[in-house]
Amino acid sequence: MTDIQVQPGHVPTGHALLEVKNLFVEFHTRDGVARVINGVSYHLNPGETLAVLGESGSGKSVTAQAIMGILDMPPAKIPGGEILYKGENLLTMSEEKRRQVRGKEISMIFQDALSALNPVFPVGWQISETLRTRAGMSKKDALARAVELMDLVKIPAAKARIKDYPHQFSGGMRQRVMIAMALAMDPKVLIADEPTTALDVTVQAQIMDLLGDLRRDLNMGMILITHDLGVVADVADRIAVMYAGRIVEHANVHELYKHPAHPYTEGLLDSIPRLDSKGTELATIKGLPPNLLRPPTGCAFHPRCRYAKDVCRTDVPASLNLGNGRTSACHFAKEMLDGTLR
Amino acid sequence: MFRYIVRRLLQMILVFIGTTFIVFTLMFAGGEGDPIQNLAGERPVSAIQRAQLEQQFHFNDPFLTRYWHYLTDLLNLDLGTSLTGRPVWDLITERFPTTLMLASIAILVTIVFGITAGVIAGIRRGGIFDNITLVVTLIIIGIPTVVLAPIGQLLFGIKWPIFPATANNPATWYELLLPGIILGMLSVATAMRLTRASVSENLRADFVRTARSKGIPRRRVIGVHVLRNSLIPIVTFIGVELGSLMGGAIITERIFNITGIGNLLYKSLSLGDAPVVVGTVSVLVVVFLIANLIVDLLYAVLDPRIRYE
Amino acid sequence: MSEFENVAATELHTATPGPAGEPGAPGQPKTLETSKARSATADAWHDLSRRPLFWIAVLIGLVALVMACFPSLFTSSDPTARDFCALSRQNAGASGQAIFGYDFQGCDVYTQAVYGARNSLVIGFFAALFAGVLAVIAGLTSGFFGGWIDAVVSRVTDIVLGLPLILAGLVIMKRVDNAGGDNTARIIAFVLILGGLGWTTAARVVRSSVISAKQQDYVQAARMLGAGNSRIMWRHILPNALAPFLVVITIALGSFIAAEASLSFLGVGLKPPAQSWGQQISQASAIGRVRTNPIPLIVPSTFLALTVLAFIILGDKIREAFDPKLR
Repeated sequence: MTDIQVQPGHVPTGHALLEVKNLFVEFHTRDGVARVINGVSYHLNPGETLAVLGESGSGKSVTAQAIMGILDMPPAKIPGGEILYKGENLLTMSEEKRRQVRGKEISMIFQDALSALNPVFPVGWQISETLRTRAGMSKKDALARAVELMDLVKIPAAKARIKDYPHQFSGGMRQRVMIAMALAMDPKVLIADEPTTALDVTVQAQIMDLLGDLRRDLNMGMILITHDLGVVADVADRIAVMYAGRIVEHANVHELYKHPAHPYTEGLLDSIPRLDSKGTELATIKGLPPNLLRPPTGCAFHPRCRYAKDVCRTDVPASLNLGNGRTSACHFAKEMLDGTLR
Repeated sequence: MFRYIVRRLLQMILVFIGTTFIVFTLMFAGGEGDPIQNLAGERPVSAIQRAQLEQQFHFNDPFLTRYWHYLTDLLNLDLGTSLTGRPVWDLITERFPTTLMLASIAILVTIVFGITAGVIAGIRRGGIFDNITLVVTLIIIGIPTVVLAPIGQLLFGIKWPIFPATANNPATWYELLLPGIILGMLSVATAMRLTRASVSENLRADFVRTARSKGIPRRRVIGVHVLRNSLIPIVTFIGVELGSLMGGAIITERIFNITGIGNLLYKSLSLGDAPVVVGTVSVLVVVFLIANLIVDLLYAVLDPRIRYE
Repeated sequence: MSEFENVAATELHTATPGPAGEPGAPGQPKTLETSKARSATADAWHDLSRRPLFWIAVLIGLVALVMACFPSLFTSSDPTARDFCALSRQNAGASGQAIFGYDFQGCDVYTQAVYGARNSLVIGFFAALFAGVLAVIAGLTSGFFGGWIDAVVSRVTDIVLGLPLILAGLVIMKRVDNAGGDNTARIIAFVLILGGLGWTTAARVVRSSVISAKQQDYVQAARMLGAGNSRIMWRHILPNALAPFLVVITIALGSFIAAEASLSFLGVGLKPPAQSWGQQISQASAIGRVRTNPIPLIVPSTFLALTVLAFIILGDKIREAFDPKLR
């Protein structure tokens, strides 16, 4: 698998803040080697929002954890690729230097805030921890700043709640605590890994709005990882769709929604419930995501693809540049755009 | 927190009544013939002692009334007089410091060695240190104190006399070092395994991933975030462990001739001094219950989720 | 509880979630088909059969068992013979007759230790059986019915846990002595007191497996299909609780043997002519005697330690095998 030549499918515009180049990640398990990331490349410009979309197991979170440098190695291994932040390769940096990047330059929020926050420390303590240990603030100043951060993420009565523990907050408020914690060191990039998945639908919208506002106000770049096409439309500038450890399609939001250039993206779009299609059966993508211990030959999506041809079963499709920064890893990407693929 | 304490206290009262009732029943229920002779065994009982025992244990009253007398006496710290004519309470308090010293050494050894080794093994799970300590602790766990104590005395007190083989009355810290370490051995092994399991579980916890993503130094991630959470099960364990520590202390004190509570209990058992046996066992059970209550409260201090239940 | 059991219990409860995957053994890739085809039990067995410590423990256990049943296979001397002990042989060295020599009373050290196996194993085995029955009853009813039954059983468990085993054992065994009981009465008393106080850990394990099994979809489905309580309990829930239960009981067996030895050591257990390792250790461990001849202390200590160790290792290894996360 590693010998496949993958073209860098993305075209950075201007000076990318963060750039993932041809990244490979594998997990060494008792049952063999799972190649979870197979040549992923994407970039993030200052102040923009990139959505990374995919099913669970597609490798979207693993890519993010590789960027943060919080993958457990072993079992994970990074046999190839580069992750450039402001032109410097994070993967070859010393661990100490890399630690300085974490939280301060690139920050991350996680899916389940209840388990991602330490249950035995008050939230104020947790938000101010980096300020005390890394920015050298006094305990008092750090706590005062923590209150400001909690105000910033719109937690009501922040000052009174600073000594409360994570389990005393509602799901939405906990997620806000996590966001406040991630913002403590004024990061330039915020990675949000399924920030709303564990929340109620109404709260989901509030958190997404908050993230959008914060990104704009603080002028951060944001990588939004999600499996839900519905939540990205309003927030994202560009979308990278991942499947089986590869980016299968990359485009700006409007083009992708209007004309998907990969059958998988099309399947995802068809499976969004719409108000105007009441009464028709909701389409689903049949089949299951591939077993990465023994991936299918050729295009990893072919067993589930309704257009699959012989070539899909034998040849791995290269990432085709469709112009205007748009790419698709489908043998028939052009036909898809033309609407001639059957 | 307040509700939690109240609930634990109520539970403790229930357990206290239950345990003392069982102890009381074990000591006095059933048995044919003379209850006083039953208590004393083969030892001849003089008329004065007989009268004294009658008065202390109220043998002429119904069973539950006798239990009530026993319970109120216990709460008043009135444990009666030994057959040798000394107040049982004095005998116990006289020896208590020695046993406390012994237990402190054992617990200190447990905490220092058990937790340190457990943290190292937990961090380097699957490594050489981990595998060696796993086997060694398994063997230590498998060897009962009744073997460990005399063999330890033989090796380090007699064959290579690094430590004193027996203790004087009252015992010094130095004399209690070897028996204390032996007494602590079992808990060291268990504490180590528990810490290891707990640390390696917490190392994979989501909140540790979060802490790492904050760019906190690894030492702080482990020393603060992991360790603080791993302490919770360990504290619980040490409370439960006090019970087996008591059993172990009786054996250790006998082997090393330490004049502590265990020794008192052993001597009075073999002499048939019933008031001392009843008093000592009751006090030890109460100490065990109180220790467990303290651990429960400590548990709430360590884990805020319990506190605000 | 007694000395050892909290190990098993705590580790069973804090069973760690496995890592995404630990480094596989290179060179022997296991195909998914074979690993799926094996049931959990077969998988555990496969894992166990490759562990040398497990086989050593089994071997020691078997030797102890044979020794308990047929002590005469191991020694030609008879400890009940009139001339078994003779002061003329006091502390005499090893000979063809007595491979570990004689103790201060001139008794054959090795033969005594061999004959000590039976009482230890009988007490350990029946106490474990008794504790197991109590634990299954208590754990099953409280886990299955929940509610006030669970509350009552839990409080009873708390109370029993509040009694240190050795303390309660001391009191009971002393009473048996005072009542003039013989060694048979002592053995029965041992079984009752060790089993009667040693069931709590196992009961908690059974209870928690029952509760987790109860919430499984297939049990819910069986219930909806109209299966009765007893059928659900025997067919669906009990098998689920079996592995962790056996582990705790095996370890308890080891700890009961140790407890018997401890109480006999403290002089409230088995008395001569009955042979018991604890009593032999007690006899030999007097400081003056150890100084002149430590062999009578070392031999029964080794027998006891190896036997207890065998059961504890057995339990520990079975637990590891059944809990893939601990591998």
